[in-house]
Amino acid sequence: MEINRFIEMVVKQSIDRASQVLSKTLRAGAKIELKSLAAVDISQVTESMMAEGDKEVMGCMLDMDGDIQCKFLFIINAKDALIFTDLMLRNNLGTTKKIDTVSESAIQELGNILSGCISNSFSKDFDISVMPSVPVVFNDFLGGIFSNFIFEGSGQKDSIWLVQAKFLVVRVQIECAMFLIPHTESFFHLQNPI
Amino acid sequence: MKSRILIVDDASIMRRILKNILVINGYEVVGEASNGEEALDLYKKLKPDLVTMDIVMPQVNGIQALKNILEYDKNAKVIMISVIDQRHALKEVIDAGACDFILKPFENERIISAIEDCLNRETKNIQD
Repeated sequence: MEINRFIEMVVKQSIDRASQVLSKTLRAGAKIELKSLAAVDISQVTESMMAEGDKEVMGCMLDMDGDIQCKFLFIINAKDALIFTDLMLRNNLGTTKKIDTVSESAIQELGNILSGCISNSFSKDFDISVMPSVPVVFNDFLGGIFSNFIFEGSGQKDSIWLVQAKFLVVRVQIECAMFLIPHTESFFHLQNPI
Repeated sequence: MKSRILIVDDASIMRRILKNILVINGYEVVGEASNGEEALDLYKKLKPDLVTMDIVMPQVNGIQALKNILEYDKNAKVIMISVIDQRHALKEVIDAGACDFILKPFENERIISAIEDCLNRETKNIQD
């Protein structure tokens, strides 16, 4: 099986599980959809992100390490982070008015839960160990956060595998996305059981 | 008398959520720590009846903190609460002596039943 087809299959399955966990966390119907999975040229992807680079977002970045390696980024519009905070705290929507340590912590925990769920999925399917690192939370412009993510995830390469997922949450319009940069070399040995 | 609980989690929102659940259910939250190092310090200082412990935390992680606390007090009651649901991690916390393991996201009832179970186990052990 080609490595791209294999990664797509594995990632789709883990995203389905992450959807279920997100719904339970927020107690609201939530769905994560795989938007794209492709080998991309770093300069092109950075350029396309820079078109919206001045949008203020919150980001949560971490490494998934062990028998396979991935870099993980969850980003959300700053105003939508307030809605996530209210959903997590079971507050009435609109209770959280500004970005503070609580909303930063909410995004940190969401990143923790989503990356943990994806790690668990890899672990269960392939009987391997994959542990997420402690998430780092940013409140910055999209361009800055995404450039940092690509820079750290690409190493010395000119192109990377980029997985992009978008989120739909019932009742509220939330705009957020999740990106994974799998270190493809680390996935090769997983193909053997298949 | 209310049972005294120490909450250990690096995410302040999780500490807040847990604290609300515990207080509503009649427990006293005597302290909060955001990493494993603080957890051991607060455990020595506060001597809680039970600890809830996250796994992925900066500096000293939850598994090491569990081992450190049990090394200090072999009768310590520690419930691990984590998003990590992997065989090797579960085996490590069980081998280390955790009282229970709760997967995030959790239902409130699961937390309360785990705490009651761990605290009763202590009572039973003392009676034995």
